[in-house]
Amino acid sequence: MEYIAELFKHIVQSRPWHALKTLGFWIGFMAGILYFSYIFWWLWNLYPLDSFGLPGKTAGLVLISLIFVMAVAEMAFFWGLFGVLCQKISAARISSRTAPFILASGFVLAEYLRSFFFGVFNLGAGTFLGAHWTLGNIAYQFSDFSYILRTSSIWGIYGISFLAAYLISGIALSLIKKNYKNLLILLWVPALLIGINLLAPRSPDIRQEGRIPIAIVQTQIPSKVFYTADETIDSLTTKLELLEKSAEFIDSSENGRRGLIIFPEGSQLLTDLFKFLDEESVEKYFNELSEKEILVLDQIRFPEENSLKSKIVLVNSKTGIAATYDKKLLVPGGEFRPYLMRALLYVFSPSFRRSGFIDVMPGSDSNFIKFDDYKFVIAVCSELLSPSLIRNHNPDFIVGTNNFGLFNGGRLLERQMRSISVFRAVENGKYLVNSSNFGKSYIINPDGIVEQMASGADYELLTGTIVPNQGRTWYNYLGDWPILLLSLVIFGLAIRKNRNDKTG
Amino acid sequence: MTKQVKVFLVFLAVLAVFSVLSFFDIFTGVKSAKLHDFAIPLLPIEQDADQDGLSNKDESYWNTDFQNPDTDGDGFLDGEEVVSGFDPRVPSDHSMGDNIESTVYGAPKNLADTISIDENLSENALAAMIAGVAAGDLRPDVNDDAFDKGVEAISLTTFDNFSKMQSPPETTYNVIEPSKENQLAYLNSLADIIKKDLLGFSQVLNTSAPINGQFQFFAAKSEQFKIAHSKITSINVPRNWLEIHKAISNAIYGLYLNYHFIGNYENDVLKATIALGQLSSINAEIPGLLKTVQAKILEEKLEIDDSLYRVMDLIYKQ
Repeated sequence: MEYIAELFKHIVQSRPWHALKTLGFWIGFMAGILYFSYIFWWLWNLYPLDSFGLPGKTAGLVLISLIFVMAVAEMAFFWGLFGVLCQKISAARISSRTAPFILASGFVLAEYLRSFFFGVFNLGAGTFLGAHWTLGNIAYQFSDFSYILRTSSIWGIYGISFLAAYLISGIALSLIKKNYKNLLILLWVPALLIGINLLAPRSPDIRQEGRIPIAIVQTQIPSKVFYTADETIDSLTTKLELLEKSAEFIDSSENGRRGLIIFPEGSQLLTDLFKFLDEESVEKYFNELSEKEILVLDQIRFPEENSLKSKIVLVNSKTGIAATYDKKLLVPGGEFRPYLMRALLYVFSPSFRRSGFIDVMPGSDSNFIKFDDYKFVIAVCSELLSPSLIRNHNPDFIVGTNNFGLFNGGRLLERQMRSISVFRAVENGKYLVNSSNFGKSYIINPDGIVEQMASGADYELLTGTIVPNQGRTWYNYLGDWPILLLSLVIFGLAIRKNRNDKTG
Repeated sequence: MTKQVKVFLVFLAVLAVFSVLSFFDIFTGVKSAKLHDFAIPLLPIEQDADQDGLSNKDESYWNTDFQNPDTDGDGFLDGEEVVSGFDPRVPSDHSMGDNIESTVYGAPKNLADTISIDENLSENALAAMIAGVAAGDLRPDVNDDAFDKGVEAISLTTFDNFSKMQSPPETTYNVIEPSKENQLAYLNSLADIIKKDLLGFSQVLNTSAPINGQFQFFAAKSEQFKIAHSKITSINVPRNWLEIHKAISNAIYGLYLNYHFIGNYENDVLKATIALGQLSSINAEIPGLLKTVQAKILEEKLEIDDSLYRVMDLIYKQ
């Protein structure tokens, strides 16, 4: 603790706000602007914002522009800080073998702070603070590179970020200083990756015993303020037909005496069903779906204690509601209005204030569900971004649900979320099943391979089986702490050496 | 002397006269009437005071005497008459044809004691309270049960009057022959009303916000159900669907009325508060009504090409 306190004291004494004046900051910041403009381009899929009840295309354009600029700028700021570090390192008398380590540590710390400060920038009534917002982490760009991907089961996305930053800065410094011998030294990184892939144990063997039959219902419900009666009834009809087919699949499955049916975020099956059935009849309806015990997972918006909750409801077909989970990591702008956004809306769009937007409040209960021999975590849409929320309690498998109904058919965010899901599965060595509204539903195995995927073009039913895995990966045990501590130590030692050099 | 001062002085004078009279009552041994003397200790509305099979609340609905097990004096208990389809307010020897169809599913006939829906229950209850306080009967500091019974009597009267307001207006339906074509045409018209109005898919009440900021929502819903009631009472009803039709029509009227009451929250808080509970009750009845419709469709072996009946078939077939 004394060491960390000394580190922070040194950072404050060095007057970091002066960093904004440096060229390094602006180079890093501009690089960040380019990268995060690509990452956040999906925000334009929200245009014209009529799903939020905002009338007028101009107001929508202005608002999205502001949100886009703010989101990109706040992310790029941390890359700017990394740029300052690069400039300082290049100016300091540090060997070109040591410098990449310091830069990689600085990059990991900047990335970690970025994932934390996204919540701070978007502070609002629905904020759940923590280093959760990993969207845009450079590691996610490697989801198709299995040799890199698999190592996330040891050191997570920050470990990959560390190696990527080390390698890039090492190559850059070697080329700048024309020290080509150093390039050979950098080869330890690919050697390490290959070694780990050869030596690390593979994911659990595909067994037949203990497999869980899973039916994923994919929906196409556009996000709107108002639905016509026909829209609601047509959607409910299709959902019920798919529910019946799901039950038939689980009934016919030879795997186990029970199964799981997953509806996506925004499906609102129970809300619609309660229009036609009272509580007792709803229980009877589920009970008669199948001979087997089925766990049906649905998501509803539920008013509770003067607030609105995004609630996952787990219905046991034989006993009624088995568990509920209230989403914690809510989307700023989509589920609650950050204070900054409220201020902007107050100025730019009086009509939006009257549109009836209701803030959702975060839940406080654990997302770990234990249902007899099923042990899994639930990740609702943005919660998949948070590695710490997923590795909670060492689940046997991971259930994700998401909703891209707001994006008017845009696929950019959906593709990013799929890469992120792949990482969550590999980090923990668990199967991940994901049900999507307006996106693609899929089953990812512990090696990060998408075993099954729906087309995402319509209401669809995806069925399959998964193997619950009680084994733990290193990452599942330790999380991000090893790589963060390593980065902190390297970074701290570099600062101390720099100070000693100056005073000496 | 200004007009306001004159009014105030007159008020003081009246108060003084009553005080003096009350003072002399003590010496003459005359006590002012206690509220419970005329209100008579009452039981909670869910209980059956006269043991006739109808709860006190139901007695109010049927406009029968909650302390008389046989209101019409025909030798049959009120509860027995309701269950067997007879009017408990009309003496009858219960011979065939005497039972009135409209009383089975519908509401009791409008009697003289059915009060106007514009009656202000808050003001009435307040006036009764003030009268009780002025008479000296409603005194919480006095250690007897007169206060509790007095408040109970006022509450019961308020609920009683509220229930009387729920009686739908006398309606003459366009009853037609129960041919298959007529039934299909009727069900198509009914589907439209059920989908657009009764199921309330377009309801967007902000349940997490204070209710007193959402009068416009309730006023709009009230208007919607008023129009829906006018629609449902104007469609042609095959004779074999009349009972179900009346039940749906009454539910829609109840929704109109209670949304209207809640929308007028500022004028009558008490009525709006009771209406909120009543609204929940009516909404809870809707799934049962829909199930009845589906059962009737199956009974009549009708095949209708409408999304509503398709989804109802999926839901209720189990």
